[in-house]
Amino acid sequence: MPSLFLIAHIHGCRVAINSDQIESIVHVPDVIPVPHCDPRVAGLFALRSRVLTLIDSQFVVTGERRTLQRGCLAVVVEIAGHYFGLAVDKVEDVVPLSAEKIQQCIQPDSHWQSVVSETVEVGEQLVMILDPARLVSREQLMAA
Amino acid sequence: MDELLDEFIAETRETLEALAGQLVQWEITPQDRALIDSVFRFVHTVKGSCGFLDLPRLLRLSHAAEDVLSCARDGLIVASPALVSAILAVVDRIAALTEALESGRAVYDDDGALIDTMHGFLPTHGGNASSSSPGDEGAQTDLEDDATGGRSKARTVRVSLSLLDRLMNGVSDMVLARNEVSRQLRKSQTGAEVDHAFARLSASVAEMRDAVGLMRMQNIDRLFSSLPRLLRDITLELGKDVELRIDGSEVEVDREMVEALRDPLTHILRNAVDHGIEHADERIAAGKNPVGHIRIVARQSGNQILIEIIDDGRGINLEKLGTRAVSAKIVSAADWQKMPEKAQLSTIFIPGLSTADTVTAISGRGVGMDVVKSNLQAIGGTVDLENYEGLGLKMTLRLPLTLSIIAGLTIKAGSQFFGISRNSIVEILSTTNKNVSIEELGGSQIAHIRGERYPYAKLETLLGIDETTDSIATSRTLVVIRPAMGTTYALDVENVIDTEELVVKPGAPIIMETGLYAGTTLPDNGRPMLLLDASGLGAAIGIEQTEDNTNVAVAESAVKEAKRPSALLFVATDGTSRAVRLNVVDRIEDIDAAQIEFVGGKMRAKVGEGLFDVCELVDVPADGLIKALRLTDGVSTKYLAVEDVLDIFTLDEDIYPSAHPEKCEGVVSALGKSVELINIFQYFEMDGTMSRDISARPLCYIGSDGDVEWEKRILAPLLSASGYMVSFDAEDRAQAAVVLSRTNDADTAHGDDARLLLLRDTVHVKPDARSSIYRYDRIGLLSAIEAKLAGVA
Repeated sequence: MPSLFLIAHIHGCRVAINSDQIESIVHVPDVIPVPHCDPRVAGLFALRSRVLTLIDSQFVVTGERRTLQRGCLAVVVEIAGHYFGLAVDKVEDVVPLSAEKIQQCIQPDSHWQSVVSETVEVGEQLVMILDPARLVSREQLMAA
Repeated sequence: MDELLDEFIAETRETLEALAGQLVQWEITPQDRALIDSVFRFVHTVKGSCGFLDLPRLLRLSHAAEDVLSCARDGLIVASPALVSAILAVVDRIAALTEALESGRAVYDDDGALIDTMHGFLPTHGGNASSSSPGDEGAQTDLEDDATGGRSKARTVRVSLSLLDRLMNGVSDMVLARNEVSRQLRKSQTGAEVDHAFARLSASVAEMRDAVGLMRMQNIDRLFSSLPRLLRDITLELGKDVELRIDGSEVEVDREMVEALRDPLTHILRNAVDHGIEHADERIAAGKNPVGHIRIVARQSGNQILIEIIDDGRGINLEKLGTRAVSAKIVSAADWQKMPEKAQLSTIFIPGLSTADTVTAISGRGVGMDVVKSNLQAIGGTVDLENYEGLGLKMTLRLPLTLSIIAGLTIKAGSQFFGISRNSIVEILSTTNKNVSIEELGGSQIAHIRGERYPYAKLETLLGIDETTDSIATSRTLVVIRPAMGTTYALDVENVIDTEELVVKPGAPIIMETGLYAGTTLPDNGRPMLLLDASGLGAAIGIEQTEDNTNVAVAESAVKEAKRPSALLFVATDGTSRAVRLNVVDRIEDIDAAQIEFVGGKMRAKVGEGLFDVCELVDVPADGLIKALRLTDGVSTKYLAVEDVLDIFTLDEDIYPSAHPEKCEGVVSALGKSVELINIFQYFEMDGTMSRDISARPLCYIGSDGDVEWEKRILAPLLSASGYMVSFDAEDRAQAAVVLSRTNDADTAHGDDARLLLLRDTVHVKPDARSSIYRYDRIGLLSAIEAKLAGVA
């Protein structure tokens, strides 16, 4: 049975995120930095009455921080009861992808490997499937 | 029908939780009608509902239990452990069946056996009473019971948590919208009428927000009520006798916190019974009460909820733990030796480490302690251990008050705003205040406020953010913070903005990991704000995380630690080298000679705002600095003038008793020389506020035969400091008000002396001994002396 995936861009790369995990896609209002915190955390932002943690997705894959400002795009996901915004460059579309197309034989480079374990073919191009939980998990912290 | 069934399931489950505790209580006090009644009522309600909902299995079970309970209620049978066990088995089955109703799974049907057991308790077994058909009689008692039983339940409505969350978010949104409207109104210059209406709207929104906040809160009793039952099952299985005491059930915590705590608490309790509490014979051998005691205390302290689990079992054997840790290759033997006790203890949280000889079905300490810790961390809590080997273990769970509303203070640092709980704030001062100065000490800074010194840190430096450039010229603000754990410190911030009610929202784990934040909040301006954690900031400054504790167990450990105390070697004003115990020395200070004067018959120094006695200073030089040790007994402060300070050494060798115990504790060997260890009680004893009229001081005679080293070194200074005269002279015995003696044979001859107070060397009471007081039990000893004096007078 095909499930829906959102195709987004992080650091110029196309990634697919399972839409089951996505709550919404928002333009981030003011970002409040969190000093002395894991560099993956770009800051906090408010979404209606909730406070969300903005994750600098680019830092996770490149190790370079990016200044995220008001108006940048974020994919809102819920991970273990907490809401996070994953900063993305842009979003394309939601596409149905069938499970057979998902494969694990082709692995991306080391930076990406910490957050991607599977790839899928979208149209002509091979796209990485991003696991949002691994963006914020403790194991990732150890690796970083 | 489905709705009714759901209602039934939810209600049954809720009552079950409350009931388990009552059943256990009932076993202890079988005569308690109220308890039987409530158990009976539950079973009866289940029976009634089952008949209505057509659930035959539940009906048969509850009917059988009802029969037995009804007999127990009428006093025909007495509650016995076997009976309670049987009823518990039925209650468990009811619970299992109820769960099964919801999940649609099947439960193995051996209800017949349970029902037969039930019937076995009936006095007229096989007679008519038990064979009445369940159906007809149900309706009758139904009426009767509802009329007489009079359930005094508070009226409640069940609401799902997600609905509550929606409501909560909705109200928060409303507050934000209100603020937006308020801004617009100010711009548009509307009339007084609109303003008035808006004020009303605003007030009711605020009230609603408060009410919704309270809706999420729940009595922690909901968590605790299941513990007695749990304990009973474990103790029965292990054949141990344990008494459970629960205090602080009225503390309110967030609903979700209750769920998150259930597993860790269950686990800790299991561990305590299985590994902490010894078997009765072992306890008797150790001189303890054969019945083990576990105490669970919940209380709110500032922005934290503390839950303490205290058992009087054997504690954790560090040596054994070390052996396990080394053999499990967690640490090397050499590292283990170097680790402080606290670090050694915390190895029990490392997965796969256990001090239990055998891993039982119930627990194997270590197999789950890591889970306890990680569960607590997930909700932003911590767990602390205090181990008293052979005497017990105290676990303190510290939990944040998430999602609740706190009185907060908004502070500004750099270009950012932060919130902090107002509970932990002592005072707020401006740095331009004359009473405030920042001093430098060995590279770190210290705030000096009205004679008190506090660790000091700039918030910007702690958080690693840039200071706003223009703030350097203007004054900054000092916030003095007393966290729930750790000592008071001063936090330097750019400015204090406002005080307001803040809704605490939990921060993502990745943020909480820093240990600096207590959570996040969304103030009315709609910009999220980080809440600072007072204890965490203290830790970041480098303050030791200790808490003031006064209980016997702590006194015990203090005695243990006192085995290897340190002393300060100094040159006294008369030129001789002396030593003083380090724990009474606050710090070493240089006092300006101009500040010292001979007034009121004493040398006194003006330091900061206070006037303090300066001991051992004969005359004051015209100018220069006087080196002095600042001594404190915890209440009053004095200075001891010294020529010079030499070194610090450990008092690990014997202390030879002195001829004048009131002047010096004894002679010790310091760096190859023999020096007097001064008795600081002599200085504080002279303190006007402390001592009593000398002529009225009751005389305490200390019975001595042979070794009186302890009496002279510890007891005599204690007594004289407390306002008693002390004598070791046998001739004084006749006129003494109180006679103290350590338990030994010679004194039993004077056993009839009403003034005699016996001291014993161990905490434990020997079964045959006469009443005596443990010799380090200072409070107990002094109050016993008071009691004797009152008796004699």
